Parts: sequence; structure tokens; C-alpha cells
Amino acid sequence: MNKNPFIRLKRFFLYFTLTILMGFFMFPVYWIFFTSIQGSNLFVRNISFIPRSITFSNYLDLFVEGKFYIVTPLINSLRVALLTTIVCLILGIFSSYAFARLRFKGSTTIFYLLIFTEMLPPISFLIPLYILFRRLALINTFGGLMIGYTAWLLPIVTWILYSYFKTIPQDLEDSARIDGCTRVGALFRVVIPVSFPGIAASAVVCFIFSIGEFIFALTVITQEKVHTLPLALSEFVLKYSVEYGKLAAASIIMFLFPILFALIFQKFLVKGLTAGAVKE
Amino acid sequence: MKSPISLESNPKKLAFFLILPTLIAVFAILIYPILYSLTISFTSATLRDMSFNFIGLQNYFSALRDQKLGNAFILTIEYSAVTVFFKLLLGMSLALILNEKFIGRGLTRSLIIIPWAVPYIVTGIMWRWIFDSNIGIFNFILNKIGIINEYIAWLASRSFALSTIIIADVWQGTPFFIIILLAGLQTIPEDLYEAALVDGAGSFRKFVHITLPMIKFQIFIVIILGAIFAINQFDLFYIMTKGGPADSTSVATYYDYKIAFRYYKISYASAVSYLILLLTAIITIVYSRILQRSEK
Repeated sequence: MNKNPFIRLKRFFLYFTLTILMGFFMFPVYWIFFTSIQGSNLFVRNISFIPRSITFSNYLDLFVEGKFYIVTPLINSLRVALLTTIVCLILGIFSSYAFARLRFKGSTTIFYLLIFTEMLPPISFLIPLYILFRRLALINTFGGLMIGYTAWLLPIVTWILYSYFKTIPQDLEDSARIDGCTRVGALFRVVIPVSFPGIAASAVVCFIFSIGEFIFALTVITQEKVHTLPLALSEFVLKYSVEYGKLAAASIIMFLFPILFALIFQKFLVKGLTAGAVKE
Repeated sequence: MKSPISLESNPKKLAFFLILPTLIAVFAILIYPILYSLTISFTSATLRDMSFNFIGLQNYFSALRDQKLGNAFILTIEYSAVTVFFKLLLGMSLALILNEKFIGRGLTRSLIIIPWAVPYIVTGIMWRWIFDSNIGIFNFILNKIGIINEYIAWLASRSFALSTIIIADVWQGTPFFIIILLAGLQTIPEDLYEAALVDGAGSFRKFVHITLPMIKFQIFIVIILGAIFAINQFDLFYIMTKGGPADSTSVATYYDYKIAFRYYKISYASAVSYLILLLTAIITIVYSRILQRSEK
């Protein structure tokens, strides 16, 4: 290593700042995990940072019928999130391919208008949407939730995939078409397979959004049997706000999938999220 | 049913069919309701009485006189400014560090994405627990190191409640800032710094004269998106304070939701949501100018 004292001081400062900041960002995750497996009574004022005894009873309580039963909302949420993701990917691939590859009149204008709908404040379409959903009997239906999420996500999915399609060399597609592929055939056989990173990034964004979305679900879902995870958790907080062991276990169940997906697809995700923010 | 061959020969038609489902969805769920909401805002409709009597601009006039709403907007602007400031400060610091070479950099870059993936409801629960008035770790630590003698009910305190939500939001939102800023930093060519080193420039001057101008665009993006996210923040307010105590965390979005779904005054709520829309529209216009400029 470098012996220069100035550089060593700089190193020290770097590690010091890094440790403090990462402590801030990692501690809550550790703490909620700790709380979920902490066996002994939480209601003592002498807190330790390492569990005194380990228990999984908080988790078990979530999976047996009772006031913390989360199996129904878990299944509801996974169902809505997976279906929303699939629909968004299919429609998003179509539209972004059209914007990236096919020149047509007004394509840039339509594209930017589409992207800017992402900036609309949810509260401004939520209130009228509630009235419309009530008229169309979409209140308390998964279909209603999914329609809302799909429309909400399509602009961002289109944006991520558009940026990705733009990076694929046109030659690749051209040679497939010379070999007798139709445009649509080339899309499925060439463009989609090589776009896996972009598609994976979009899928993770869709999944994380739809499994955690709250304000829309709160508005259009009123019956307990169609509750999604965020609704179930917010009910727990309202009713049993001090049972932190159970709340913590439920939180862990809820963010398990989002965190795993985010970590597994991290590289693609970073590329997808920074699409448009970085000029190649 | 059109055969793919005829679409093949006509890319414009193909494009039309490919983007149609997306446009229909976005129009039906986002654009049409917003236009519909404009007409509602000119009526006296409530969720109990859905007769849409035209009353002109009255809802907007009452909005301008509504003291609570005025405070809510001030809170929103305060909240946005403070969260964006801290996200930028922490985000820039970590992005700069993560751009240096050090042992464990790959792992740190992976871990830092975690808060971004955590749903807001869970973030709210986590920080509620940390700030709990009786058994929260925050009180415990402050008490142990002697900063406070008595435990404080942070979430129920008029002076601290907003700060606890700001901390939760900064925790959740900074990783997104880091990702964008780091991506910007990585595009700066190494030889720029080497040239500066030859000229004898110190770290601070390198930061001000090379780094900042080179990632100006990314900084604009995170500030604008950060402001929009902050204006739209609802989940944390709902789960942590419910707008209380004494409306000290009742920001515009939360207040608007309450008008619509607690007091059922949808026409007034629609008018208020148009004021929120106006606020974000101003920010979005600035954003689009910057995007367009970078396209050139």
C-alpha cells in the first residue's frame, strides 16, 4: 500500500465515512430481522444488539389461522404482482419496440407524452378512478388492481426497454430478416433473447412496485379477503401496533422477494434504472 | 384479422398495433380520469351525494382560503426540499466513495440497493419501531449515551414527527440517487483527473471543476425526480403518523386523500389534486427542458 501519509489519511476518512453511512442504511434491515427472531421479551428497556434467544414463533404465527394470518394476502399479492409483471412485459416489449425501431409520424411526441404520464401525481387520478371503478364494479377485484398497476407501470417499462432496444445493433435484426424472418419473427427470435438484461430489469421494477404499492390498493380494496400484503400490514400496525415481533416477521416475509430479486438482478437493474440518465 | 405479411409491408401499421394496447391503458387509467377529475372539480359532488351540480370555480376559491391546505402545501415544499437535500448529500458522498477502488466495493454496491427494494409500508414499520417511544432503539441509545434523560415520543411530537418521516424517506430514497449519480461518475474519463493532477489540483478543486460539471445532468435528474417523489409521498405519512400530531405532518397529498376518502368531498379534493398537479407540472416542465437539451 501507499506509504504517503496524506493518502493514508484519505483512505481512513473514506472507510470511516463508508462505515457510518452503510451503518445507517443497513442497520434498520438488521434490526427488523433481529426483532423477528428475538425470543425473549421485547418489552424490556435493556436492549441488546444480539438476540438473547432465537425463536421462529413469530413466523409460525403468520402461517396459522389467527389475527396475524398472512397467507391470504401473501397469495393475493404474489398473484397480482406476477400477473401485472407478465402483462406489463408483453405490452411494454411491443410498444418500446415500435418506438425504438419503427419510424412513424409523431413517434417522438407520443413517446415523450407517454413518459411524462409517469410524472403525474397518483392522487390526481386516484380520486376519479375510484368513482369510475365503483361504476364499473372493479372495486375489490384483482382485475381492477392489475389494470391500475399495468397502466401505471407501462410508461416506465417502455422507457427501460426502449433504451435497451436502442443499444442492440440494427445489423443483428437485419441479418435475421435477410435469412427470411419477418419483422415480428426477428423481434421474437433475435431482439427479445438478446434483451434479457433489459427485460429482467423491467420485470424486477414491475414486481417490486406491484407487491409494495399501497395508496391505490387502499383506495380500491375494502374487503379483507382481497387484501394485499401492504394493506394487511397496515391493518396490523393499526390494530396491534406494539406487537413488533410479529410485525417484523411479516415485514421480512414482505420484503424477502423484492430484496432477493433486486440483489440477483442488481447489474441489470442498475443499467435499467440509469437508462436515459447516462449518455453512452 | 390482418395477416402479419400485410403488417410486414407496412411498418406504420405494425407500429400502430404494437403501441395501441399501451396507449389505451394509459389513456383509460391515467389521462381520462384526470380530465374527468377536472369536471368533478367544478361541481359540488361528494361520495354520498353524487349529483354533479355545476358550481364553477368555487372549489378553487375555497382552496385558496383554506388555511389547513395552505399549511399542507408549505409542509410539502419543506418536506421535498429537506428530503432532496439530504438524499443528494448522502447520495453524492456514497456515490463518490463507491467510485473509488477499495476492498469490498462490489459487496457494498450490491448491499446499498436493498433499501430501494424495501416497500414503503415496511420502511414505515421499521422506523416506527426504531423511534418507538417506550422500547425503541433510538431512545435507548440516546439515553445510554446521555443525550436525553427521558424517553421522547418522537412520532407523537409536533416538533419531531416530520423529521422521523424525513429520515425514513432519506433511508429509502438515497439508493436511487446513488445509482444515478454513480452511473454519471463512471462516465467521467480517468485522464481528465490525471491531467488535473499534473496541473496540481487538489481533491476539492477536482470535485468542483471536473466532477460536478461532468455529472450536472445526473444531479438535475435526481433533484427533479426526488422532488416529485417527495410531493407524491403518501405511504410513510399514512403508516407513521397519519398526518398528526395536530396536522404537523399533514402534507398536501395526505390532506387531499383525507378530504376525498374521510370527508367524502370528492369535488373539493379534485380541485386540490389539480393544485398538486400544477406543482408537479412546473417541476416536470423544467425536467423536460433539461432532457431535451441533453438529447441535442
